[in-house]
Amino acid sequence: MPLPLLPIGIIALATGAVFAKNSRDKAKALTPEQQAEHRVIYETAINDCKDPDKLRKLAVAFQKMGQKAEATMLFLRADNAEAPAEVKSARTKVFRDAMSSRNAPAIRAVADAFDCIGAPGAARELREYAKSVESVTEEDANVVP
Amino acid sequence: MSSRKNKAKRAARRSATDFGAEAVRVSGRVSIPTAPTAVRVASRVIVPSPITAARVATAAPAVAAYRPPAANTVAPAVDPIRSALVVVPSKAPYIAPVAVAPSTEVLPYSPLPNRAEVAYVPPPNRQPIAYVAPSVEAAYVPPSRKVEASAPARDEVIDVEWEAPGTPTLARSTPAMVLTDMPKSPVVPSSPNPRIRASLFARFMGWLGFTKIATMHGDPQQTRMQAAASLVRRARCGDQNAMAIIDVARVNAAKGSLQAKLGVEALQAYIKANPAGADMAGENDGDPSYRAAMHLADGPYLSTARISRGTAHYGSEEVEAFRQGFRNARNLPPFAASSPNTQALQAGKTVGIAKRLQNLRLGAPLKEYDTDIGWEIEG
Repeated sequence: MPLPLLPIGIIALATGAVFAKNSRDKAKALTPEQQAEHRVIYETAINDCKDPDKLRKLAVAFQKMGQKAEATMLFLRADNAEAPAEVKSARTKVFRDAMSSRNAPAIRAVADAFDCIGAPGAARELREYAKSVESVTEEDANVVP
Repeated sequence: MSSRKNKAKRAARRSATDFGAEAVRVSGRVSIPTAPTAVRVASRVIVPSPITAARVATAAPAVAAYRPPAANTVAPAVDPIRSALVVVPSKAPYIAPVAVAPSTEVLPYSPLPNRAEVAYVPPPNRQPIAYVAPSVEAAYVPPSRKVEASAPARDEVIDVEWEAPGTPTLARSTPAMVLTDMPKSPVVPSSPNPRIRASLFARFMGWLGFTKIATMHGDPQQTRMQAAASLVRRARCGDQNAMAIIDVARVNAAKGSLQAKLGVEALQAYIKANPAGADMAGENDGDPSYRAAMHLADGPYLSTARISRGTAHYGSEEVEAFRQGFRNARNLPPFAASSPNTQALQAGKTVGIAKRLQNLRLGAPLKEYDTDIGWEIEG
């Protein structure tokens, strides 16, 4: 009989709603100063922290505060550091190929992919390179023979 | 009947008086709890057990120890991220003064310029993609198309999937190709999207030759794609009129206007074919040193002898500045910009980047190109 299950369902929905609201409130409850502080901590960790365990600890802390995007990025970065050797060598080859390419959209696509695996430094470098490739290509096109 | 009621009342009154201070007066019909701890549940009255000397003796120490809470003595909430600061001890003193910056401030060294970029990171179970062809020149295939088929475990394979160069797509066309390849079609009759069809009346009018041509601000007649290209270029340069026109077109398209839908389609096609940067000359060209370095790196190998020949005309201070720029090409300190030998410094930086780029292409470890990138990719 589904009828007796109705109150259980209602209670479960209500509990879920309360949890969702709490998690949203937790993320919203940060003051601007706290947000700025967290951002500085996050960026410092992204740029300078190279210990996967520490990155994971910080990711858990961000997750508890409801900042899931930052937490995901830190988790990815920690996982990226512990990738198998063959994966790393393949990634190195892709990066090297991209840095030798003149195909700006493809380079940007590689940059996006590196962003997705928690390698923002490589992604930033590739985007910078893609920008230069575009401008150099444009300059070459404007040269009158 | 009445004697029985009176008997019950007397019995209740007698039992109520037995409870001392927490007595409950029970009338014949209504129970009125007088003590604060008495609770009425349905028709019954629940009263606490009698206060005895033993209960008082047990409760006395707790009562004596009790103190009302003072105002503003709430324990401070522990911020888990602040407590997790121990994970970045090296920069902890450095970040202290920056921590009070307003949230809108853009920090100078930001790997991810804003939250939106961070937020687009896909969930981990959707990112692994197979690495098929080694050439970067091949066309890029969005990851989401092929992940569903195999769904390999995370980090088992490389992250970008390529396909062999095939039919050229609109995205790989140059802006000039887009503009010249598009037929000079009038606005209403022919639609590039088969889902959006002009009305029968509009098609009939088009068949008769009474069709409207897109014009903007007194410009000569333009095709829809030319108008869209002009609008997007103007908006990217900061023309607020163009931004407003695009916004109005989007609103009207959402409302169902056919012309607006066609216009938005054209805008999207142009934007897809020409991502930001492709038609923004001068604004988004990147670091000039980097561009010059690219030219240099494409040339002959920059050996030490070759570099020495290039700097032969420098004085001793300029050579020192050149060396500084060469060594710190990847992260030139900010104060270096005010160096008296800026030109030599910039030249050193350019040659340094070019040399690293050449070495990278020749197979040098990534750590030699950039320490951080080396750690990110090679570990």
